Amino acid sequence: MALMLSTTIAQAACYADYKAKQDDPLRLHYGVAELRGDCSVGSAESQLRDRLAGNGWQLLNVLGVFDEAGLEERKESAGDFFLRY
Amino acid sequence: MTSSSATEAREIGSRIVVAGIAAIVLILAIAAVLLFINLPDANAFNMRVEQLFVENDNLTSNAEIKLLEILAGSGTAFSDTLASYRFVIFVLLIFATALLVAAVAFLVMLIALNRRMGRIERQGIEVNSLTISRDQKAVYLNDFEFKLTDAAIETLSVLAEARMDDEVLTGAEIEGVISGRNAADCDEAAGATRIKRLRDTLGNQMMSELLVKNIARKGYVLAIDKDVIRMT
Repeated sequence: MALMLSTTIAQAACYADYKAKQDDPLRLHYGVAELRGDCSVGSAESQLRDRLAGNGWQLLNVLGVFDEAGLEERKESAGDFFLRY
Repeated sequence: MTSSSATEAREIGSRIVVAGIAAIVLILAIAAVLLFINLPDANAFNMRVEQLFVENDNLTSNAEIKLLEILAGSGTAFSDTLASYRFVIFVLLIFATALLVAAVAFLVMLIALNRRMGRIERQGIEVNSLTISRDQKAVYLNDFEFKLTDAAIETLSVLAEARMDDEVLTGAEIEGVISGRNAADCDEAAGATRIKRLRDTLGNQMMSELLVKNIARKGYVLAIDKDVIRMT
């Protein structure tokens, strides 16, 4: 049952919050992004690294993964970077 | 021609000067290198801020992130200031090198000059240059010109050549070289006579130049400072 639940979550919606930076001059941002496929920190890191690098950002770390329930509390902090990449 | 000890002293002195200057340049070059190595990397502040951002999970709100960025920016500005300071310090180091090198050179020159002055004061006359001019029948000692007879010029030339080869001549050898005969066939007394004549003519003129001056149609006077004369 628990296994089924987790797979449905993974299929339904999976989000990760992360921190990224740009050099020269140093710019930082905290953002939330939607993940495809596997819902884990590891897959989030590999996915986000590519996505952010395409936009000129360097991924620093992934704080965690969560579902829709966690979206609302992070929306304000993420600001412009809420579901942007 | 200076005496051999003076030449040696001068050589040792110049070696010390070169070593001293090299040491100064070396020390200041090392200082400059250390200066450039030890100054913090321009990116050090950014890295520290980035570390802070990563390590604290609750530093996520927009305002906090903006603050961190401002912190990094001011750090970068400060490191720019440091870079300009570093350049100023480097220029000052170069000035210091130049001044120290000049100081050492002047110091050694002063010591050498002092020693030479002392020697000149004791010796009375120091021969810095000796030029024999055969066609003018004259010998130039420093700035003094002395007229010599042909025979005296010949004797002086022989002695000068022997001195350049670091040789000592006996009276017979001198006579032999001048007359062109074998030294074994020559009389020691003949050479001695030549030396005596050279000494007399040169000595007389030197005395007249340096000590007893003859002023034309007026008379004779001692060519020395009157303060140095003491009667006991």
